[in-house]
Amino acid sequence: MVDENIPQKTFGLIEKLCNESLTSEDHAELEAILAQNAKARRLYLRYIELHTNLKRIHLRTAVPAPSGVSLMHAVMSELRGTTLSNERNPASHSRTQWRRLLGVVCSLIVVSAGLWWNQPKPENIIGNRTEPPDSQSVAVLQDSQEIFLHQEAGAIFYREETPRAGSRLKTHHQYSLLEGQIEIAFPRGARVILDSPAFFELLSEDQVALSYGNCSVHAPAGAEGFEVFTPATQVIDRGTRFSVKVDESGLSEVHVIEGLVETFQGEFDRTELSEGEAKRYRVDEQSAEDVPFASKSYRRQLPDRLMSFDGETNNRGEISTLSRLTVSRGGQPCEYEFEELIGCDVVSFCERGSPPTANFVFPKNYEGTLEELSLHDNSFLTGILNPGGTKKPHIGPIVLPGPGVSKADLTPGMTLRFHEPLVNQAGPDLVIFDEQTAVHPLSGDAFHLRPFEMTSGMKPMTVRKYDIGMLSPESRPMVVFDLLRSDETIMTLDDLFRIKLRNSTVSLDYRVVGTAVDLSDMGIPLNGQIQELFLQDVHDDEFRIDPVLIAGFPPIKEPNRKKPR
Amino acid sequence: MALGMMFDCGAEAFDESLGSRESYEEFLSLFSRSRDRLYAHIFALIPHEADAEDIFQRCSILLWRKFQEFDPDRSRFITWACGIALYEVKNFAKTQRRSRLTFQPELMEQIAADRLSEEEGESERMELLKDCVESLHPRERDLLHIAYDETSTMKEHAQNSGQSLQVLYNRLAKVRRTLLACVERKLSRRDFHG
Repeated sequence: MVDENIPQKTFGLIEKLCNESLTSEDHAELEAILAQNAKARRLYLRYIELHTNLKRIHLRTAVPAPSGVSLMHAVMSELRGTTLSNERNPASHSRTQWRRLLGVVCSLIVVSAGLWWNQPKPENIIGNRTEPPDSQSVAVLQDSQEIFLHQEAGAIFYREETPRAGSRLKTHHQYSLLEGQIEIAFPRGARVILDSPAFFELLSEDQVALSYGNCSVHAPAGAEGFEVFTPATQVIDRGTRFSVKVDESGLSEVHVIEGLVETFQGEFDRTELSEGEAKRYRVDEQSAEDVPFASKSYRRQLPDRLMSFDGETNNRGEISTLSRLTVSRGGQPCEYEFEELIGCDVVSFCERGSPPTANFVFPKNYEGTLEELSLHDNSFLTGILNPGGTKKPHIGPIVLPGPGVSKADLTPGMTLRFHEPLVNQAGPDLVIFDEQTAVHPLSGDAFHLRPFEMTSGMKPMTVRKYDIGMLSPESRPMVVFDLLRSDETIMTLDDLFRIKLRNSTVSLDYRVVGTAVDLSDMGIPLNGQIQELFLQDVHDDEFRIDPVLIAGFPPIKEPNRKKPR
Repeated sequence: MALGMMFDCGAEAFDESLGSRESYEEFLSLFSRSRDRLYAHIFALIPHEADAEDIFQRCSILLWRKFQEFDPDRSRFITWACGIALYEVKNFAKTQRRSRLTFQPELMEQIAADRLSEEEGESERMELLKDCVESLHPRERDLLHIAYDETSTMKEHAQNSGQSLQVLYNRLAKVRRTLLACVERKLSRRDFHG
């Protein structure tokens, strides 16, 4: 309905008219607009029709149907009692009389429905609020909306579980996104990315209300007209990309990345924003102020990350092996079968500075050797656990066991040797899976990772939040396993293989969590290669990392893809 | 209830001088089917509720009195009724000492012509509007009830809820605008999908 040829004040004037607050000056202005502008007249007529139809909807539910015997009499009495003179009948000023007349005529029609025509049944009339809608009818409405969570990245919601990617989202439900990001897919093609913290509500198949936070909207062809409501304004897409930011006071900023949007605030004071423009809107103020345009306010895609993984599961849904995984690399989801991944073995181990603990994990009825537990396989139930670490990442040369090397000088941590060099390409380049329980850090055990040999420009990185943590819908429960514990601190891998260990069972439910790692974060240049990494626990709590499976991603076949980070 | 019984009950009220019972029956049928659109037409010409209601009432009687002049072969009932309503509105405007909310006669004629050209799709728009209202948030539907069911006024609600009247009006404006866009969208989709 909105057209640039319609004067901006038209909406506000029509609104005032509907609210019966139009002044004589307003009336004169509206009259002038309508006399000169056919599009404004069409808008006026649609608005007036909407207003009278809303009245019809609500009056019909409000007017009870009287019994039929005296209806005709009542109608004729009403008609006879009405003067035809142009002098206003004082008694007719009230709305009630007109309503009564309409109600009587309406009732007459209802009673004689068999001979006349069908009136809407009261229970079918929209707006009957005597009974709240039951849950079933709400569900039907929700089913028709078809709004889906397209993907999520570390999303955590307040007082509800994070839906899995592909789940249908609820309309008229207040979502509170506490952590991470989500991308929502709307039926007509619009995509909305929300960054935490964000409080929002899906109003309809192409409307979202954002009461706090940041959202980035892309409405491609066919999705024009997508609307974002904030406490201060209403943003209507006209085929574009834009971002909306709302703070605690409702102050709202709109930045247009591409195309065009319209905004309305107060009594529909309309503002048009085109590419490269940004405005700020305050609650209960009808004016908008310019703000510096910030293209970075718009998020084009969710962060690169480990998106999901799958493998062999038992009848309780507990996973034991990795079959495939999906990782976002440079904004593109890449799916890899386990066999495509680059394997990695543990070639050094030291937990100097830490108390003794469990160091091996293996499946029930395991028949292999301890050495095999240090080698690459597809099992989440085999591996060497709890390497040592430091609070801050170790920067200097890594000291490994050797002739003349004191054990007191050994660098706590574990060396990972990949079966072939990893190539730094777009997005993440390797994945680390950890076993975790609810009494451990929910975001995953923090770790430092660095190139074993650090040349110029290289640096350690620290990961404190996994892509798939304990609260992620993509984390998976593990098949029960056994542990081997030692009673002394393990200083070398050789010690680990020869020292006396004792079996230990676990009583807690464990899950597999995981995260993808980008070699760029260790200062490795694009297309740079590396074969050995050094992993350390972040020694800031009693919990150490349990890396049950580590693997590299194969090179991406498309050449020279730019690193997004 | 049988129509005959209703007429027996209403015999006292029926005025034979104005036409046969059959024509009265036909009038009521046509009038009842058109009354909402007729009121909307009058309200578009004279957008003031009390004035529009007065004119609607006078027009209702006038239509019955002139019903013998209605020729279904020459025009639809609603077109004929709207023509009479336009004259009634113009007459009303002439006699009004306060000209606050009356348009110039030329504008009234233009609005009347525009409206009749779009009148055909109104029932469809009404149905779409019902769908759109249904999809509103319950809070928004409640606001519509406050604004339209007339059991209380917006001002009373503002006082009772401690909200400013202007904030309520702003919210109502957003709801109306949402509904307007919703109906338009559904119409365009329906057109697109045939």
